[in-house]
Formats: sequence, structure tokens, C-alpha cells
Amino acid sequence: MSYEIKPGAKPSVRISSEDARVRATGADIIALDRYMAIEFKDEANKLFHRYGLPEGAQNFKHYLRYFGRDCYEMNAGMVKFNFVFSLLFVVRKLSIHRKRISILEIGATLGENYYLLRKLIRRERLPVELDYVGIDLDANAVALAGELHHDDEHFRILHADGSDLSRFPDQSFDIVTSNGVVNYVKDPKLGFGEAMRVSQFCLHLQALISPGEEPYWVTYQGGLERAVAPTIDYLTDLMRPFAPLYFYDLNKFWWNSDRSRKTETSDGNILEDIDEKMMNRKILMFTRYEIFPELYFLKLNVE
Amino acid sequence: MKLSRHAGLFVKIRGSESVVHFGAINLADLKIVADLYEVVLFRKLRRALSNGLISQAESSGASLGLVLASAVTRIIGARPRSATTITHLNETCGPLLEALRLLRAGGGREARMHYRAFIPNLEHVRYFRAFNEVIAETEPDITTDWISTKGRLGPVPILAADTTLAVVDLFKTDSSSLFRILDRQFSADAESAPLLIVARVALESGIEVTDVTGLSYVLPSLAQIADWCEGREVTASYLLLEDFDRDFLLPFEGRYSVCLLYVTVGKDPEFRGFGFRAIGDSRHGGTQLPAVVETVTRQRNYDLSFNAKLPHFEAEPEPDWRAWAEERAWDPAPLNWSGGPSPGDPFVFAVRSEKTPDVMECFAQLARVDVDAPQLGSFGLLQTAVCATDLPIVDRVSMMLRAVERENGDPMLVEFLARNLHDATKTRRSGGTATSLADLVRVFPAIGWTTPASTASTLREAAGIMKASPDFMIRLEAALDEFNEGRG
Repeated sequence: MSYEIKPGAKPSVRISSEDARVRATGADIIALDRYMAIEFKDEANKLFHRYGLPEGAQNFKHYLRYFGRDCYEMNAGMVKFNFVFSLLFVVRKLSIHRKRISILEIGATLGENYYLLRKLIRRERLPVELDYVGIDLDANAVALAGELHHDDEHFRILHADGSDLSRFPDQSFDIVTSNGVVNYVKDPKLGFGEAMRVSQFCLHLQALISPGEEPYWVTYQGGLERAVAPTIDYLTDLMRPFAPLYFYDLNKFWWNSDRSRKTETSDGNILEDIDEKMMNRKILMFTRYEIFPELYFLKLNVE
Repeated sequence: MKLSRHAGLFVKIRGSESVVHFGAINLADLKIVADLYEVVLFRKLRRALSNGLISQAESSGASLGLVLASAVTRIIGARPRSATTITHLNETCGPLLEALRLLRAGGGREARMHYRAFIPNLEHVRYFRAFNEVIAETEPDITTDWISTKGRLGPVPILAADTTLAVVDLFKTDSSSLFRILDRQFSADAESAPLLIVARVALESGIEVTDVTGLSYVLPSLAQIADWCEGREVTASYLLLEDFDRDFLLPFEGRYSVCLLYVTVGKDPEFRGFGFRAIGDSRHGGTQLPAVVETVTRQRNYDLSFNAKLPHFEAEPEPDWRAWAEERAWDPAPLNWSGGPSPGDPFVFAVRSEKTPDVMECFAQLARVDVDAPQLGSFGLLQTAVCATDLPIVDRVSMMLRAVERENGDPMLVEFLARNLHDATKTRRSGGTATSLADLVRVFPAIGWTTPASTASTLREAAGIMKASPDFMIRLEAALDEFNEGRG
């Protein structure tokens, strides 16, 4: 493995008690980033990272803030900015050869990624048409997304489970994408496998990655375990059955520049560059084609 | 929408699998849960009406939004003006607005209407914008604007000049602010706009309620409202509602009702009916003190009614995914993916890699590239210029100009440039002063690039799109100077 991640102390993980309330039921995928915050503490029980929504942002309502905005006003350090721009990059590449691109988003919530992507594509006058299908477990989000995009024939949202894509035949979609969902499924092997099965050209993921040697596991209420932050080795092992394929870590791309992020912990300490030190939110891409051959230093053939 | 209580603080929204845990969300969220659902419902109904899926509709009488919208329609119908403006002082995501639109779709009045929303919660502002500015931009039947009041309840302005009717929804907030609002609105000598308030009122004095958040407060009573009216030149009417959709939302203890309170200056002989009863000063024909009303005042004469069977939220039937996929099938295997737009573009991607960790250094390399032996394609240049917000504006502008030069003025690219020049120069504080595209055209010869006539025409067309900060041209010329120096 030629990949390098700065090692850090292996943290103990716990779900902060005040945020661990169940906000939704009936879901096999627990979208942790929507419903709760996770605190990571070191062996001395000192908080070094808190992963969660910004203060005051709860459920899906925070997604709506992106709708009214001009995409170029978005802070380049924002997670969603990185995600959509990297997706746009794949679409650009594909648009050279293909005028109609089908995309499946697992965990599409309100379709805000579609909205931003469409906006960027129109702005760039890319001559492509999207067939965008989103699935989500939150019935309310599905209803609302259907309403928000009701007049858009290129967008469709389904109430479905990301770990069961049996309704779609093999290689149904040019791109399968997911922003921090696939690594939370109950059976990640199944989740990644299904996502890869239905994608023809590219599987584009954004996920929290553990820089250590072990994935971070969280024991959820009811005894269920989730790998909230798998390692890259873990991911590539999962993808091995689909080899040969190419694996890119788009986090190295210039648009994904790491700003010096500062976080104030509860005890008043300022943490800087937490991503560099401990956690990395990566944009990953698995493809069956060598679509960015010039990025030889990023390429990793899993075969 | 029908909400039902389920296991104490958990409320299940009928037709949805979600269970809302009220103990876990604050009051603002609580308000938005019901309102958002109502907006979605009304929009679904309206579309079903316009598509002919529903023709004859009838109301179950349970929707507060529809009752309120019907009352609003009646009131403004009784006060005909050339221009109608509804001002909502405590708006969320626009359930009243959607109810008004629904009434119109059902054959309501076609008079022009303007809807102005004062929205206290910033998150609710975003919802409102999503539905009424961004997504619903093709629905001009009712014009809207909105004002964020940043956490405060509406400023309760004296709404006389351009407001036909002011609406305040105090349903899920502390109704103790009722008298403050009434005082503000009706204290001025000038004619104030009539006020329609949704509030919870007690039927008897001294009823204290405790909501799910643990807050306790005394509800205003009808007798107190009558006292307030005493000696004032106002006409107040009330309509008690019971057993409607939001009645289950807050499990209050205490005897109370939800009331539509309509207050207007002086006598209001134009407004009749709709079940409103007079309240207040006997000189204006009201009773001295309202009797305790415990019977339900049911309304049947809504402007629009719909079937009790509401349209559900299931999406349209799924397609046959196999056929869907076959229709879009193609084989990417034979394609040669190694071709890039320009051999220099990898430089763009290489930034921030291990080899070139310093962004600025990498861009400095790019800037030193000889124009005659370009390392970077025009597309890469444009992308770099647009996205590299770390760079000084002069560098970004010079990259754009160089890209246009390299493309010999491809019209689409020029328009892309014009749009992105706008983005590159836009700041949050920029006033958005329009800059003439002719100025932009003027600078192209300065870099030795002659603008073809067709391109100049495209540029002029793009002028409508382009706005820039006032000092844009100064910065652009500085960039040009630097660029020309660099060319030697």
C-alpha cells in the first residue's frame, strides 16, 4: 500500500450522552451525521475531536440552507462543496463522451447535491443531461425532496435502503455516489458491494476515514455496531472482489485544500488541523477505467 | 394533515413513518415540523387541482391553514383595493401563503396579491426561500418578499401605508405577547391595518398552561381581550376553533381554545360572517363581556374544500429499472480515457499533492509558464481562476484573460468567463454595481487579442448577467498591467 496517512493515537470512541437521543426509528442505516454527534476522546479521556453538526443544525433542515445560495459563495472548506465539486469533476470527464449521465445517490436526503450539481453544470454550459435517482431512508425527507423537485423530470427520489439495491440491475448507473452514508450501513461489505454492482463507470464516495490501522467502530443503542470511520485498507479490501479497478483519493485534489480548521473543545482548548492529526474526511473514487491517467501518483490498482 | 399523540412526547405524523420526539427538539423546530408538512400537503393538492386529478374537493374542516386562509380571503374580499398586501408578522416556511395559493387554484379570486413575510427564525428564512424563491420561481401568482427579524417576533410595525391585512400566528408561541402586539398596532392615531391573530386563549381567566418544554404561562382570556377593547375605537371579532389539525401538537393542561382574533380600527361594517363573533365595546355592537363559549364553532363555507381522503406522499410508480437501465446502456470500455483537454492540466490536479504541497508555490509556477508553450489548457486556467480563492484577484483575472486569448474568443467560453468574472470579483459587501461589458471588451485589445464581432455581440448579451463590484475595473486594469509586464 503506497498510501500514507499520518498516524495518530488510537482513540476511544463514545457517543456523547446528551446527543445520543434517538430522533428517528425504523432505519437500518443510522445516519449518524444527521441525528447525533460523536465525540472522540484519547486515552486520557480528553476530547480531541467532536464530529457532529454545527450548533443548532438538526435533522435535515440544515441541508436547506444550501438551496438558496449561490454555489460559488460556498466556503471551499465545506464538506458539501468538496463533494459536489469532485462529483462535477467526474461528470465533466464523462461529458466528453456521454451526453446523458445517470447518477444514483445513496442517502440523497433533499436532493441538495443534485441541485448544486445541476446548477454548476448549467453554469458551465456542459452539454449533458442528468438522470438523477436518489434514495433515502427518511420518509419525510423523501416526501420533501419529491416536492422540492416536483417539476424536474430528471430527478427521482425513492424511499429505499442503501444496503438493498436489488431493484436495480447490474451497472444501471454511470455514477453511484454517496456522501458519508455507505460506510454507516449495517453490513459495509454488502453496502459497498451493492453500490459497486450497480455502478458502471464510477463509484464516488465521501467518507470519514480512520488514519489508524483499525476502523473506528461505534456501538449503537441496541448493540448494533457501525464502522463510522473505516481505514483505507479496510475499504480497498471490501472493493477487492470488483478488481480490476482504480482507486483515487480525491482528498489530494487542489480544490480540497485543507484550511487550518480550528475547533474549540469544551474545556476551552483550541484544536488545529484536526483532520491532519486524527480524522480525514476523504473523497474516494473507485472506477473500472483509468479516467485520470495523469494522476499517476494518486492511482492505486487494487488488483 | 392530522397529527396524533403517540406515547407521550412522541408524535407520529400520519402518512409518514417518522416519529417526532418533541422532547428533543426546540420550539422553533416544533413549529416548523407542522408547517413544513402543511406546505408540502398544500402544494401537492394545488398541483393535483391544476392537473385535474382532483376536481370536486371538500374540506374535513380540520386544517388551521385553510381556515386562516379562508378568513384572510374573506377579509380582503370585503375590503377591495387596487393592490392587496398581506403581511405575516410571524412566518415560518409559508403555510398560509400556500393555503392562499391553494384557494386560488380552487377557483378563488384572481386579484393581484403581494405577500410579505417577517420571519424571526433564520432557519425558517431558508425554508421560505427554498419554497418561494429558488424552487417555486415559476409560480408568480402571488408575489412575495421576506424580511428576517433575527430572532425577534415581528417588529409589529404600524402597518397602514401599504398593508391590507396583517396576520400574526401565535399558535405555538407564548400568547402573552398578544396584548403587546395589539398595543403597538392600535396605539397610533393614524389608521392602522386590521390585524388577524391566531392565538390560544382561555375561556376563563387565569388558565395556566405548561407546554412540553416545561414552560408555564397564563393564557390571555376572552374577558381580558374585551377589557382591552374597552374605550378603544376598535372592532374585535373572534372565532374559536376546536379539534383541528394542530390541536394535538402541544399537549397542554388546562381549558383553552384556539382563537382567530380579528381587530380593526373603528367600525368595520364591511366584514361580515365567517362565524366571527363581536367582542369588546358595546358601542360598536359587541357584547359587553363575551360569554364562555364551549361549543365548537364549525365552519362549512370555506372557499375551497377538499375530500377527506388526502393525497398521500408516495412518489409516482417506480419505473421498470431493467428497461430504464437498458435505455441508457452504453459501453465505456472502448473509449480512450487517457486523452485530456490539455497536456498541462495535470498541473491543476497536482496542486496540493505530496510533490507540491504549497499551493502558492504551485500557482507561482503556473504564472511563470510561457504563453507560447502553454502548460495549462484554457479550461484548466478558467477552473483555476474560478476556484482558487486563495489567489489574489489579479492572478485570477489574468488567468481568465489568458484562457480567453487562447481560445480565440469562443462565444460560450467568453460567456462562461463573463459569468465567472462576476463570481471572482463578487464579495459579500459588493453593492452589485453593473459594469459595462463594453469596458471588458475594451481591455481585450490591450492584451493583443482582437475581439471578433460575433464575440462582441455575445459579450453584450452577457452584460445583463454580469455585475461586478465598483472597483472591478481598477483591479482588472491592474491585472492587465501585471500581465503585460509578465509578457515583456
